[in-house]
Amino acid sequence: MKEIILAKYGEIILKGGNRPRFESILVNNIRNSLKNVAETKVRLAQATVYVEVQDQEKMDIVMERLSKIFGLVTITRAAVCEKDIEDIKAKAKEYLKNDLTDGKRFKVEAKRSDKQFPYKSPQICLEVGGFLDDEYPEIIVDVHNPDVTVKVEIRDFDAYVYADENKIQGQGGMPIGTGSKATLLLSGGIDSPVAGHMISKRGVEIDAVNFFSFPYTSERAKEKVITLAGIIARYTSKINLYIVPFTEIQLQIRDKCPEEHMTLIMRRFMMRIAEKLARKHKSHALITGESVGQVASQTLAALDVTNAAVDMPILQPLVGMDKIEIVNRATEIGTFETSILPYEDCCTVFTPKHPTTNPKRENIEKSESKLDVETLIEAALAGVEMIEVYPD
Amino acid sequence: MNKEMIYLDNAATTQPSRAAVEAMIKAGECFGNPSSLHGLGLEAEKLVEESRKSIAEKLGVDSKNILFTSGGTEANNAAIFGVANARHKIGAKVVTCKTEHPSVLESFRYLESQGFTVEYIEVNKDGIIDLDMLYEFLDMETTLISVMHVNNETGVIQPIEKIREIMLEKSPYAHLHSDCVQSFGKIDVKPKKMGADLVSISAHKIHGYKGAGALYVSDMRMIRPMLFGGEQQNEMRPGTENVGGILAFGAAAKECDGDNSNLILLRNAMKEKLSQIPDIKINGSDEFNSGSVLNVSFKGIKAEILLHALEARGVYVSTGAACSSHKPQPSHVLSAMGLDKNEIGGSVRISFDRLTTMEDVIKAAEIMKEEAASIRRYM
Repeated sequence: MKEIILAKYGEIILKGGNRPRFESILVNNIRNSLKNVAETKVRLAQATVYVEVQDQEKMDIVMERLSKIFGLVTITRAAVCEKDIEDIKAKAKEYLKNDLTDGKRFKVEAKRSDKQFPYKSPQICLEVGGFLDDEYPEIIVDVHNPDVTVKVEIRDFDAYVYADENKIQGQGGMPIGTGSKATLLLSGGIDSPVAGHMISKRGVEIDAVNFFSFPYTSERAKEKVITLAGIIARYTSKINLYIVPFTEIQLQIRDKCPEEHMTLIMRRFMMRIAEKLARKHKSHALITGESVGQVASQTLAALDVTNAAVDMPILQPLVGMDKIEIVNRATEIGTFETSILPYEDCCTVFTPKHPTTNPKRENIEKSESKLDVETLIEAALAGVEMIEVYPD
Repeated sequence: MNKEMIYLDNAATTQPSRAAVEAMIKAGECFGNPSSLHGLGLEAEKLVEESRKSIAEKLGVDSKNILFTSGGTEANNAAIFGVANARHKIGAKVVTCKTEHPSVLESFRYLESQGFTVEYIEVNKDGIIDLDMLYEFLDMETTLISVMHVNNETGVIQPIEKIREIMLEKSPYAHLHSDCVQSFGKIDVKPKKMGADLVSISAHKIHGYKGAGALYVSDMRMIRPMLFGGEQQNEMRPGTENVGGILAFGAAAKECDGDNSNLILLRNAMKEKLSQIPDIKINGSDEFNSGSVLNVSFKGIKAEILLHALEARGVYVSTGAACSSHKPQPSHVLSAMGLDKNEIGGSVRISFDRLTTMEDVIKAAEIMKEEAASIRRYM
């Protein structure tokens, strides 16, 4: 029996004049994501993306990929029927035989967008429902609390049948590429990958920046960051990852600045470097994984001092979340297991014992003035390595 | 190997030698299954048996007492479970030492979970097994003693011959197994002279390939097989032989002379050079050392940082402990020797080989001195 995937999108429908452009971005994203996975035909009609998969065995992997595409709200496999009530009945019986098992309560819901079809929606429900009830004597009609809702959709090209319970939730959000670009400060930790995912869900393309302090952090720590970028790229299709050599800056801060200011000065350097990279690569905001009060450098006073180093919007989507919420998100998107790998901790050499939690901007700026900020940043930027990361 | 590189991690692995590579290529040409009846099979079988002979000769034993395995870990498992299974009716008491390789320790822990009485003998601050404690524990019911020859983290040599004497006196029904993965090919290993009934060795520590090892068993009736299948190796270790790995193992074994006098010179030179660095501690016995390993604590330094700093300058070493706050794994060997956290956290393993030159050692020591100083500035 011929099967098809129906993927429905949400928010784009509200976008008025931009809708056709956004729809075409969505379809392109889907095509790109499936390109190396299976031979497919992707087309769009009536707020639904139709995905035909040549090789039926590739259905599962295609579903998996679609479940990661921003902009799609629900995704379901459906049987393709001729627009003929008898064919619909026969296909429904065959296609749903594993759903309509003994004792199940069911109902039929029909939607007729092709008004040429001779039966109206309530009639379709009666016809198909009655037929299934006869064919499967052990199932019970229950329109209020059904276990199985049989969906019949009469659309432009064909009719489709599926069980509503079998559809999966999509990512929601907006398709990547509808919202320009932002630059994510990606550490090896739990938070920043989640922050990146949340902003990319709004249709924003992502560049990532990582600060690398060899030998204080190892090659393996860098590999871990590349892996994390690869997991985020499952949702965004590709990420340009900029690796910034950071050892010299850290050593100079360690040498010349008071210990309790070390972390904040370091973070200000990171923000400045990220801003320069963002401007150079046409990105319009920075993204960080800050959550208020989580650690000393994330008190509001500390964020005030850190964020003042740059003149660019800073998106901090985790700002009001607690650790458990962030961990749950990380688990959902698949970054948690990688984030907790232990390779990053040699950096603790640069963590002060008593970091300041209530910093004053002028004090930090005074400490910072002992460094040749511009020269250090230029030198770090000169050593940047760019890695194109694709979904792993 | 890259000319610029100074490779001092030979206890982890070594580069396959020219002869080993050629043996591997040869195995690619003589690709028959040693069990096949036709000429191709026979040719492969002959080569495997030649290799078995070369290894047996190095050990001074008969080739019928050599079983090829997938490496040191399997050889250790095969010895421990092989003896434990064969002799548990005589007695379910087994003994090992606290500083053994994980493939031995974890096997004993498993035996413990299966109801065996297991004793883990202590070592002194030099890393040498406490023979008095061993003497106390051994009795008529003890059936297995497993003590490594040379320790992989410190290079310390255990007194296998003395252990043999104690065993003969107290536990006549016991067998002695020795993990010789770190000693075979580096120092003279002769199971009969040592008094070991079973000896584990590995190819990639002596310029062979990873994935090949062997177990010497003085009498095959001592053990039960762990794997079941075809008739290869008299059914004691079935499975189609890893012909390439085995041929390379034989070729590599032939190149070893078991003379460690040069290793001792290298280790002493390194020790002397590093002793000029403040807050240094050399770990493990000097008197009883194979010369293949120098274990040094750089107090106050996180060893992994030093490792990466050295790596950036072309010097390759290992750490005694993983630098990680999520999964702290301080070296069980150094802990057993009574080192404190600080000493363990800063411990580096430098391991030598017959290809190491004095020039390498002097240059590497100089680099270590510089990098240790630069890291200490910030810690």
